[in-house]
Amino acid sequence: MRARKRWLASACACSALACTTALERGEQVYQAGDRAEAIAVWEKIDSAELDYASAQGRIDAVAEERGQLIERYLQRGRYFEERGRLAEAVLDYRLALRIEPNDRTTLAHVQELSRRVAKGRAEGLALFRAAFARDDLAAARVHVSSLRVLDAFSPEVADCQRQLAEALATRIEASLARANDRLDAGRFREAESAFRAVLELDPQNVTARGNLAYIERLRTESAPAANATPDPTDPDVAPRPRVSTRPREFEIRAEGYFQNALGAEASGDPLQAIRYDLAAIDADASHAAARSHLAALRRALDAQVPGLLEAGRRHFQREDLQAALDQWELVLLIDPGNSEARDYSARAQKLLERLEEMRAAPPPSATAKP
Amino acid sequence: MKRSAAFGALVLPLALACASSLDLGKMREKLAPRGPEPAPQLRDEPNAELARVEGLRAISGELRAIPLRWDASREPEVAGYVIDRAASADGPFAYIATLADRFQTVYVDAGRDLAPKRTLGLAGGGLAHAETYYYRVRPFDRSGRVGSALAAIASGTTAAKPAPPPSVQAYSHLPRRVALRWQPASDPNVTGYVVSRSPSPSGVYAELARIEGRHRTVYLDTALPDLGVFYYRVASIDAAGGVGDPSGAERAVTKGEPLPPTGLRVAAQTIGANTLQWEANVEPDLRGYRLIRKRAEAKEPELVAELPASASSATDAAVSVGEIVAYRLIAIDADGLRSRPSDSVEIAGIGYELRAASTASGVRLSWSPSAQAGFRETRILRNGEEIARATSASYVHAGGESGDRYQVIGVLADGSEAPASRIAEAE
Repeated sequence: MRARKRWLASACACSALACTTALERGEQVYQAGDRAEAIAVWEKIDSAELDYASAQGRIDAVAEERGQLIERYLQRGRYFEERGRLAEAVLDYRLALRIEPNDRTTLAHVQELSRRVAKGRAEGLALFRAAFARDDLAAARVHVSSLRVLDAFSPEVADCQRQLAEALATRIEASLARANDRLDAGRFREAESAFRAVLELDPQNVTARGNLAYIERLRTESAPAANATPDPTDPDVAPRPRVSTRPREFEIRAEGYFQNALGAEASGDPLQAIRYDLAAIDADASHAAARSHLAALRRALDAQVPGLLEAGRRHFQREDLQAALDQWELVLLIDPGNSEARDYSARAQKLLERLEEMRAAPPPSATAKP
Repeated sequence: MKRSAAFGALVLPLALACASSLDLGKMREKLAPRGPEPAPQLRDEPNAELARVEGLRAISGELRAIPLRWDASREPEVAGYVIDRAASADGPFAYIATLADRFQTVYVDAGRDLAPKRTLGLAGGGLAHAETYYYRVRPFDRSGRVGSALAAIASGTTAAKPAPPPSVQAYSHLPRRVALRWQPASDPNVTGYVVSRSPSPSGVYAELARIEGRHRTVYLDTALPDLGVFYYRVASIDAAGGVGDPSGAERAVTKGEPLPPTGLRVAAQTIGANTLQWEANVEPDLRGYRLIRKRAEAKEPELVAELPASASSATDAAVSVGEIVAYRLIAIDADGLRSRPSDSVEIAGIGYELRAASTASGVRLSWSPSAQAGFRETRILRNGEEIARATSASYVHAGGESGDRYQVIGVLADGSEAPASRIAEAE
């Protein structure tokens, strides 16, 4: 009885397999992620067969999708390569190669880029280690930043970054504590010097920048009292400022972001300035200067919106999703309510997510074929 | 408890001694330990004479609980307290507990009641994280009448959900796995972590694991595809089961298989041997290469040689004279990941190009000088038997006749022999 059941089960399985048409088999291969193999299966369907027209339709659709995917990965690779993010570029080029293994040009380019990454990483790590060994944390920070751009995936670089972050945190914390002590004691010159020491290690440190701005304001406000007699026992003690209370931590941070915004604008990066202004407002919604600076920047940049939208569209048409997204995100920085940019961004984001989901899937060769 | 035991030890023998004059059952009843008096049934009728509860304090920062304390009432009429809770200072207050003892002046509200709470649908009921509640405590008398004096209100806030652990780091380029590590959360209420993963930074994060222990700060995500990109987040779990906000997304990519070797080409050929060269692969942890040969007549390819990573050439000395073969090269890294095969290189093996011509002085044999260049000498066979050895690419067999069948075999420098030539018949 049991043997008969087994026989029946296997007979059913066999007949099910036999009933699978070439069209369905191709679909299964496609679902497993192997587009080229799926097309090959469909191409074997004879023109006399009933499924021929359907198969031709699928071949066209999947071939187009395959070509689009390859182009998107290649464009993403180029996007990263142009920005010196070579390891990320190699990754995307390799993902394109996974779909089109016979692309000799891309393979040769990947080989060349991989050599450059390996060489640059070895040189960068040597520079970092030398700087770290001589306790030059500012230089070590610069080297690690470059390495992170070059090879975002290197475990060695990640370790160096962690090592540096720990050292920097200790050093910055100590400097900030010293600076705050001096500030509390009214020793403004010493406090200023300690805050500047923090900026040497971390140029955008918002606490240091915010406090330096506060000291500057104190100086300005206490200037009329400059003739007052200083304490003869401590020449560094400034006259008691008229500012009654020291700003709270979040106010200091907001001011720090605002100072960074001014710095970014001065160095010709108004979009980065907008980001800093937004961070300032996020830290302290009542920061009036950041609000008015942000409004002024947005007014000044408003004329660039159509050009940025168009540039995004051009990138999108070339399947360069990341570059398109960059342009539209800039539009949204300038004009957060821009519905066109919002729609475009959402669309590009969705396509990028799809690409990213595919990156996490096993390669076609690793999938079981029906 | 100890005191009552000691008291029992003293009194019971005495009681037993007087058993004849005392009712033992009544005695036992009197000496038996008494529990708290049952709370009287609370009545709607208020008692305006009871003073309000003083010193009510609510302690904030506890995990999904708010402890309350107040001063014990000095009025002997007070039989206990009624505790009410509200989500705002203005109320409405709802009953949550009764304490039937004047000196029971501590209560921990964990929200195990049916009164309204801010967060509905929270698993397991109870108070939520980071929520503020307002309390009032009113006395009641022995007949169950609740004091009507305006009660003082105290508020308390439960602890916030735990912060994500610091310094979450994902290690890339590991074979088919990603290692995660982070610093232990500084909050001692943290009892573990939740690790989640998504294929895209803004995508849906699926929970991978719940790790118990504040100091267990590593996780290995295994069985991943080669060259897969993943994003990871780690959140802390506290003793009340609350899962905090996750860390920022950390990206990691698994190790890719080596790139297929490039530049595979034939560098040299001798009789019975093809030498191939290729460009060195770029992977820093390459273990070596596998050179694969496919003979024209064979169904399956076969391994020619396994070569170290330092190799960039190899000789296949097992090809027949003039045989057509195809080669491919596969790179293998230290973790055993194999590249796709390189492009195929097809080649025909070198032949002797043996000729046998009858002349007046015998049969003149000649073969390729380039083939001869690779040999120390060449054995000459007629009808399967060696008749001579030559060190140049020709030989005249004085006794040879038309129709004789000749073959030559090159002898290599080390004394080994190359494959034999095809048979040439003297014409």
